[in-house]
Amino acid sequence: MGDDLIWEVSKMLNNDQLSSIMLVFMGLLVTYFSIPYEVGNITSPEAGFLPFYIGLAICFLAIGVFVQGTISLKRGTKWKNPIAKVMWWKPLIAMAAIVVYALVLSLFGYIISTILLVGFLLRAIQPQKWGVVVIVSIITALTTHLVFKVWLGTQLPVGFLGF
Amino acid sequence: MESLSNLLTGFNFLLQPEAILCCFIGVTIGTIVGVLPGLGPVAAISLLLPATLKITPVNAIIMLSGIYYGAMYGCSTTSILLNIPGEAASVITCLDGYQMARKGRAGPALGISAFGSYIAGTMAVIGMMLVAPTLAEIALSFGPPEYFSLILCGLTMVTFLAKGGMMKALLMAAVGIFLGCVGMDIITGIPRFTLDIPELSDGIGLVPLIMGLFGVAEVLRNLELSMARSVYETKIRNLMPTLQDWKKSIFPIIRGSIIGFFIGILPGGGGILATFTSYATEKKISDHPERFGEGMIEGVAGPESANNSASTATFIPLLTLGIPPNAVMAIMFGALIIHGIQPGPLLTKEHPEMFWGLIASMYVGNTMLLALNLPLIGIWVRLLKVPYPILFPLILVFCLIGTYSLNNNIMDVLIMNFFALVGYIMKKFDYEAAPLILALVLGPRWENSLKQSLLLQHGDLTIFFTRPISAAFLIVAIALIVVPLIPALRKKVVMVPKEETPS
Repeated sequence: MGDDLIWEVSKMLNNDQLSSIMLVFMGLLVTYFSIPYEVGNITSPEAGFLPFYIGLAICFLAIGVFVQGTISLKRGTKWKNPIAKVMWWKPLIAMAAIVVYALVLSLFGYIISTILLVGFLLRAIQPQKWGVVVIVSIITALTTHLVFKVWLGTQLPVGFLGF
Repeated sequence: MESLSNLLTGFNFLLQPEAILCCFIGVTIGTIVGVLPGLGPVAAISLLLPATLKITPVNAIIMLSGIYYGAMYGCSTTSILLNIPGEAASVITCLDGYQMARKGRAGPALGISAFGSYIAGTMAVIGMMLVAPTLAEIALSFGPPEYFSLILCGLTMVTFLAKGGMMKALLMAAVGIFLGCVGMDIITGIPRFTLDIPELSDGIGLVPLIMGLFGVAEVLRNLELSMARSVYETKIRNLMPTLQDWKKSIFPIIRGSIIGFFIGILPGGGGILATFTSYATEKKISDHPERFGEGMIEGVAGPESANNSASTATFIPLLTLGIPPNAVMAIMFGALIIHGIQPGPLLTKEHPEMFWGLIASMYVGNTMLLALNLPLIGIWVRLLKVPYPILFPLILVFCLIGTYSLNNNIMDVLIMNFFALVGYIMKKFDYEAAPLILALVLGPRWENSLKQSLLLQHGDLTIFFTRPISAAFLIVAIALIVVPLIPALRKKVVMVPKEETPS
């Protein structure tokens, strides 16, 4: 049902129109949430002054992009699926991996987390031989640890194992 | 005379081993970054920014600048050997450079590219030395209305040259100004749009945002495409161009240097516009314009020189006016602020060692780059053969460490991930990140200038038009918005090359 609706809408709008609608909403949200900070006026601008007017500017500019999109739709620029003909699952997997990495970094520590992240990416995105996976992930973790922590003195998380 | 004496002071500073080492590290990393497609100078500078906190501000800026102009040198290698531009600014070099490589002339193409870059880089440094102090003197008379109008003019110019259309670029600039509002309001002290996240009370960090929008988003974009790429297998010999090559190239190099310098000073006028203008100029004045694209050495010499000249000249508005003209300079602006130095007209007076040390380092850095790029070309070619499926996890790890190590905070990494997703979606819908970054950097200053002007004049908006310099900037800004709307001019505007999105 939801997929059908998206399909029907996508047939009516092109990419510029769809993205501009999202940005109109963003502009409205910015404008609305600026009000509690007090907008003030031109002689005495308050904290919400610029965000309020920038929110309105976002709305107007997004409407401008929508109009441009409408003109280009009439000229034949239709909806182009941004994830068609590309391996969209690869960035999705990579994105998920780095989010998980950020969440477990403090728990497992830099070295283990990095070995797991690099190893996972090497296997999951375009599978490499296990030998390559093990060597590259360990070398990456240890080398960056040496450069950033030992040489540059950057504080990297140690985790429950103490390294 | 005063400039020469200041330059000697700069060289005196640079003679310290630590400064020379920083310059060398910077240009070497820059060359690697330029050679490797997928990791651009913006991400590389952001990545190394936390590491520079351990060294003196001058050395830090010398190193970070070296990365930038080193990348501009290195990016021609991939254009010539792979037909893939290492940076957006070397797109045009692919046309004739790759054809030269296919005809067995990869050596002279790489050679003239390196020599041209060296000559142009040096000429631009001399120009910078002469122009910057004068510009800084003029900028001393700027008040809040002038800065408001200047920033507006700069942002408009950046959006004028952006790809994906001016309206979209203006929209991104507006979003950038909003993101710049996140955090404590400087005048009232009220935290805005922080979502109760303490890390946002100082605003959205420039490094997580840039790493996300440029570094990680670029990797994500590359992942969904085919990862196969092949280096054109040819023996690289005769790197020294022949006398005939020099005869053909010397004037394109000089013209490219001059074009690049003046375009580089303009806000938004980075490498791409300079290279396209240089290429178009060479083609126009050539006796054989039809041969361009078939391996003409002029088509490599001119644009490569323009690129390097422009990349040096982009430092001028940053150092003298405190206005970064492109995304790379925006991160340099952030770097200077982190090191406690306010870029602007007072920089040459308050931190002469910084300004003149940087200029001296550019002279030395250009020479180092010549030495690095020619004899070591074999190493850079080998580097190109590292498969992307192995390279990309390393780029991601660098982005993650770079972001984390700035404040040792996981929240920064999560913010980076959020903006990586935003950047990926923006690319899908043809929205450019550069205007957003510039607006984010300039937004707080713009807001301050606006508020100060309004408070001083009790809300009288005519202040922006009655002060001549401010009025001039506003007229340029208005013209830039109006020109594309005039049908007769629209066609010409469409033909203006699109500005880079350095990754």
